Amino acid sequence: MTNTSVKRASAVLLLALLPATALAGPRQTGTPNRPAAPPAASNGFNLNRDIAPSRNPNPAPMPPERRVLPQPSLQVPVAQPRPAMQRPVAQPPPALQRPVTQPQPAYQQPSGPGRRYIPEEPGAQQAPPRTFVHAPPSNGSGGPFHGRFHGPIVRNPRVPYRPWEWNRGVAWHPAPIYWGGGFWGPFALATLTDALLVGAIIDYDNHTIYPSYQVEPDTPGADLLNDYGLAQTQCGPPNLVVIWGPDNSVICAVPNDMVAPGNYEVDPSTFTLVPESP
Amino acid sequence: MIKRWSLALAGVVIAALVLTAVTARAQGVTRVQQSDGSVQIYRDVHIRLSGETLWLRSPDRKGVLEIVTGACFAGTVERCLPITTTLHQAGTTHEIALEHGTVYLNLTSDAQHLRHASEPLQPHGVLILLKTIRGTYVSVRGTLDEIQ
Repeated sequence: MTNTSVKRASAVLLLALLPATALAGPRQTGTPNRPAAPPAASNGFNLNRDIAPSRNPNPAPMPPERRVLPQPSLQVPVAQPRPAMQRPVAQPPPALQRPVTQPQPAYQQPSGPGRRYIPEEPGAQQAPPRTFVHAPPSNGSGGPFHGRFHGPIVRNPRVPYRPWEWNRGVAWHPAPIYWGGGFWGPFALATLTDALLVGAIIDYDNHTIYPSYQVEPDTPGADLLNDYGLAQTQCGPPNLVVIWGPDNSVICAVPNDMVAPGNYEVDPSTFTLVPESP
Repeated sequence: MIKRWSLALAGVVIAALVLTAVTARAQGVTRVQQSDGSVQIYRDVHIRLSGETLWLRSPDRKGVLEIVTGACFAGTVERCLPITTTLHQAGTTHEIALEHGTVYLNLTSDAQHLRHASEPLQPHGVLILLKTIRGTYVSVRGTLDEIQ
C-alpha cells in the first residue's frame, strides 16, 4: 500500500463523514437582537426556562383539575337542565344583570327529581348569577344528570356496535388537561376563552355552569355528530339535543329524525348516544 | 493501480456505512424555540413509542423527553393529545407544564397526508407540536426508531 493510496482513502473517508458530523448535535440559531437562551445544563435538551423556578410574582397556574374556566359571556343564551322533561329552558338576557343577593322568585319552582329550577315563564330569560361556578372538568360525565342515562340506546348508524370499533379497536381515554378530555377538539383548559363559547347549560340548583365550545373538525366528537347527522348549535334554546361528553363537557345540536330533543350521554366505547331515563 | 482503486472504493463503502449507521439509527429533528425567540435544533433525536408514551432522546444521549399522551384518535394518522411532559436530564426529573399540543403518528407503512399540511407524514413518522406554559415551542419531526 502506497502513501498516496492511503491519503486518497483518508480523504474520501473524511469527505464522506463531514456531513454526518455537521448533522449531529444541537445547533442554535436566533436573531442577533434577541438574547440567547440560557445554556443547556450539561447539554441534552435546552428547556431550562421551563424547569427553572418562576420569576413571575404571580402564582403558578393551577393544576388542570382546579383551573377556573372562563365565565361565559352574559350575552350568551344559557339554558337550565330540566331532568324530568329533558329540555333546556332559555335563560335571561344580559341587560338583566341583578345583584347576587337579590331574591330570584322565578327560580323557586321545583321541577322534579334533583330539585332543579326553571323560570315560571318559559320565555323568561335571565343571566346566571356571578356566584355560579364552572363544573370541574374532570368529574365524570352527564353534569347534573350524572347516573341518569339508562334510556334505550340510539345506535350509531355508521359504526358497528362493538367496543372501540370506531377507533380501530384502540381504547380512547380522555386527556385531562383538555376540555371534554379532547373528545371535541384539542381545547386546552388553560387557553379556553369566551370567543370559543357556544352557549352553556346552567344548573341553577347546584349553581354550576357547564360551558359549551365549538366542536373541532376531524375529532371523535365531530365524527359522532356526523354519524348521527347532527349539526352543532348554541346551547340555550329549548328542544335541542343536549349531548353530555367526557369530563362533564356538553354540546348542543339541532334534533333530527334520528335523535329527538333531550339529554344524552356519549358512550365512548361504542360511540353511541344514551338518552336520559324517561 | 487496481489495488489503489480498491482501497479508495473500500474507503467510500466504509464511509457510506458509517454515515448510514449515524443517520438511520435516529432521524428525528427537534426544534426548541424559547420564549425570547432563540432556537435550538437537535438532529438525530432517537424516538421511541411505548404504549401511548413517546420518549425522545437527545443526540448526545444526555437528555430524554417523555411525553405521555391520551385521547388518541386513530385515523390513518393517529392524533393524540399530550397530557404530561417530563424532562429527564442531568440525573434529575422535571415536569414541563404544557399549555397545549398535538402528536401525530403514522403507524402505517405508507406516507399519509395530514390535514392542512403540505408535506405527508412518512411511514412510521412522528410529528409533535407542543407549547409550554412558559411560552416555549417544541416541535419534533422524524420516524419512530422503536415501537414497544
